Amino acid sequence: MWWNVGLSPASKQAKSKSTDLSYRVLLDNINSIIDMYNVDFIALGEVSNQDVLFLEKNIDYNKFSILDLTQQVGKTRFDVCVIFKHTKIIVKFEDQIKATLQGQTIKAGQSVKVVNLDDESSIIVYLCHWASRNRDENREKRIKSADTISFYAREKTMKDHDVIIMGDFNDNPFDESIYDRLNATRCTERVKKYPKELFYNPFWRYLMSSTPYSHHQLCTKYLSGTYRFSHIKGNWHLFDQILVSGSLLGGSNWHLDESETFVLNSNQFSELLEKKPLIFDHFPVICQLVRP
Amino acid sequence: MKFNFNEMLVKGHEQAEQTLINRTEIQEVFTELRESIIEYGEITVSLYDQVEFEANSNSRPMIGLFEARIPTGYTLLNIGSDKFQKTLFKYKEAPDGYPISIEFLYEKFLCSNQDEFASAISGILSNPQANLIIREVISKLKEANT
Repeated sequence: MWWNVGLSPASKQAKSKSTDLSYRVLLDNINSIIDMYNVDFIALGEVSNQDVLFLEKNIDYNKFSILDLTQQVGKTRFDVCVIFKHTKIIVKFEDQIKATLQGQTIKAGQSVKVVNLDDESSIIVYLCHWASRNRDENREKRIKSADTISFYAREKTMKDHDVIIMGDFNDNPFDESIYDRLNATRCTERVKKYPKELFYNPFWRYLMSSTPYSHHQLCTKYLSGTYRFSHIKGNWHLFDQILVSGSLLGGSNWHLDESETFVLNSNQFSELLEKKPLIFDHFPVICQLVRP
Repeated sequence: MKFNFNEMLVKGHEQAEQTLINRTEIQEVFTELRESIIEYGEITVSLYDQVEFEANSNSRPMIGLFEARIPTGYTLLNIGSDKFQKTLFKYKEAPDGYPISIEFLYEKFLCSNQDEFASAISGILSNPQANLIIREVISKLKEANT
C-alpha cells in the first residue's frame, strides 16, 4: 500500500501537520486498513523522522516494524517510511536514486528489497515522491525522475527480478513521465508480451468515476483519482499509483491480483479528505500480490 | 540508388561523431578528477578501471569445470598505483557515452551529460566516506614512497 499522508512535506516552506490529533487519526486509519485489508507493506509519504518515531512507538511491534527512509539529501530530504509485517516479510533498504538537473539534485526515489520469509523470494520496490505541480519547471524534474527510475528498474527486470514502482508521482497515468518514460501502460496483452520492457499500471481503471453520470441519480460526488485540487481540466488527479513489472502478470511465482488493487476511497476516507482541520488530502492506493 | 543507404551512412556518421564527443567529455571529467586528487594529496595518483563481476556464485553457469564469472555491467573506478588501489565508486557507461550511471555506497546517480556527470562526482567527493578512501590511498602511496 502507498499513502501520501501529508504530515511533514519535505519542502521547507510547507508547514508540518504533525499534531496529537493528526497522529491519532493516522494511527486509527492505519490500524483499520491493516485489519480490513490484511496489508503487509505500507509505504507512507510526506513523513518526517519525528513522525516515524511516533509510529514506531505506537504500532503493534509484535507484528510490525518500521524502516525510516527520511534521509537527508543536500538541502532537502526523502520523506518516506515503510511499515511492514515482520512476521511475513523483511524490508531492506537498497539505494537512494538521484539525478541532477541544471545543478539541482533530483530525488528520483529509493529502492527497497522485500523478502518473503517463507520462500525467500524477493521483490524490488521503488518508492517515489516526485516534484509537485506548484511550479511549471517541475515537469522537467518529474520527467528526469522517471528516466532515472526507469533506467535502474530496467536493470532489474532484465535480470528477471520482480519490480514494483509506487508513490505520489504528481503526474497522471497518461502523463509523459509515467506513460512514455516509465513505460507503464494499461495494456495487459502488450505487457505480457514484453514483460521486461513494460510496466503494467492497474490504476488506469480509476481515472474515471465509479459513479457513471445519469439524470436518474442524485449524486454530487464523482471521485475519480487520489488527490483533489482545482485545475482547468478537472478537479481529480490520479497522482498516487502502483506500477508492476510484466513478470507479475504471469512470469513469476507472484501474480498481481487486480480485483484487490484499488484506490481506497471508501466513505471513511472520503470523509477524511473533507474534515476540517484538513489533515489528509490523498487517498491511499492498495495492490495485492498473490502466489497461487 | 534503390535502398538509400547513403542517407543512413550520413546519419550513422553524425551519431558516431556525437559518441566520440561524449567519450571525450567523460574522459575530461576523469582527467580532472585525477588532477584534483593529485593536487589534494600532493602525490601522483592514477585511476584504474576494473570490471565488476556478480558476487553470487549460485547463479553462475559452468564452462567445462570452471564457473563463468558474470560481469555486472559496471566498472569499478579504482584510485592508487599499480601496487595499491581502492575502489572510489563504480560506473556504467552507455555505448554512446550517456547516460552514465554512478554508484557510491547506497547512492545511485544517473547522468545524461558532462555537467550532470561532474555534479555527481562532486557530490561523491564531498562525502566523508569518499574522503576517507582518498586519504587512505594517499597515505599508503606516501608510505610506499618513503
